Amino acid sequence: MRVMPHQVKLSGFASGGTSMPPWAMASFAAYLAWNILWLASGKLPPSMLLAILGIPCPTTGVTRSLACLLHGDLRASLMWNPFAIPFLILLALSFHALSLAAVRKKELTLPKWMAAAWCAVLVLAWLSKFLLGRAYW
Amino acid sequence: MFCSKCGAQMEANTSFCPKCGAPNPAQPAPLAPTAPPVASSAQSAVVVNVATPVFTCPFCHYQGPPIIEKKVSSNGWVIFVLLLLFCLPLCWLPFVIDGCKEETRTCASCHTKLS
Repeated sequence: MRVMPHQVKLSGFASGGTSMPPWAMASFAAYLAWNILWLASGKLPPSMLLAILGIPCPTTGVTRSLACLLHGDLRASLMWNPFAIPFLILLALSFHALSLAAVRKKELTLPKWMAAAWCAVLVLAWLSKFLLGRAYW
Repeated sequence: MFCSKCGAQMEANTSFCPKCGAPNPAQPAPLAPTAPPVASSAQSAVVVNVATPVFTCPFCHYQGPPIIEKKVSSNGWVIFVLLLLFCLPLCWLPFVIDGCKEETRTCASCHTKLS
């Protein structure tokens, strides 16, 4: 089979295209409205997952975990979210990979192993939140 | 023969691996077609050279490479919305993960959607 070089057009944010479907726009608007309503009432908006379904999200407690780590309290940091540090490492690696791709004008796509690592860390972090109990949600 | 990069089977007279697009060191690379693909969208676009089989457009009979556009798939948008609502710091992931994107191919000459 004869093959030739050709061009791939990558459009929009992160080469992902910007044609957001209407239902996604509506969800985005609902999300904005949720936050604006809470902020207008003088309160910080809570996590939607926690407020609506009563369960935490995988990244719940990351800020508090990092705050504890900065104060040298490793145990409390691990209790708030044991995957805070893996999250940060993956975030840094992803930023590095995407920056390199942008500089080289290549498609902004994470390597497969990194995408798999994100999925694994998200699932494990979510499980750990349930195992650690409601006190750390 | 086999591709030196991905190990896929390829014919000896091909210039590029049909699977990963790596050049065949035994063959000189063919020239690009005379009519280059033109980006039809007004959105900002990055153009990347890769390899693909030569095709003939069934509508205008143009022979040459198609324009391949990568966009977030429906599943990708579902993941985006779920992450947006329930895990905001990671809602950007579907835009940079290949599995959340889909390819659309259009003829470089008549701009008919091919697949």
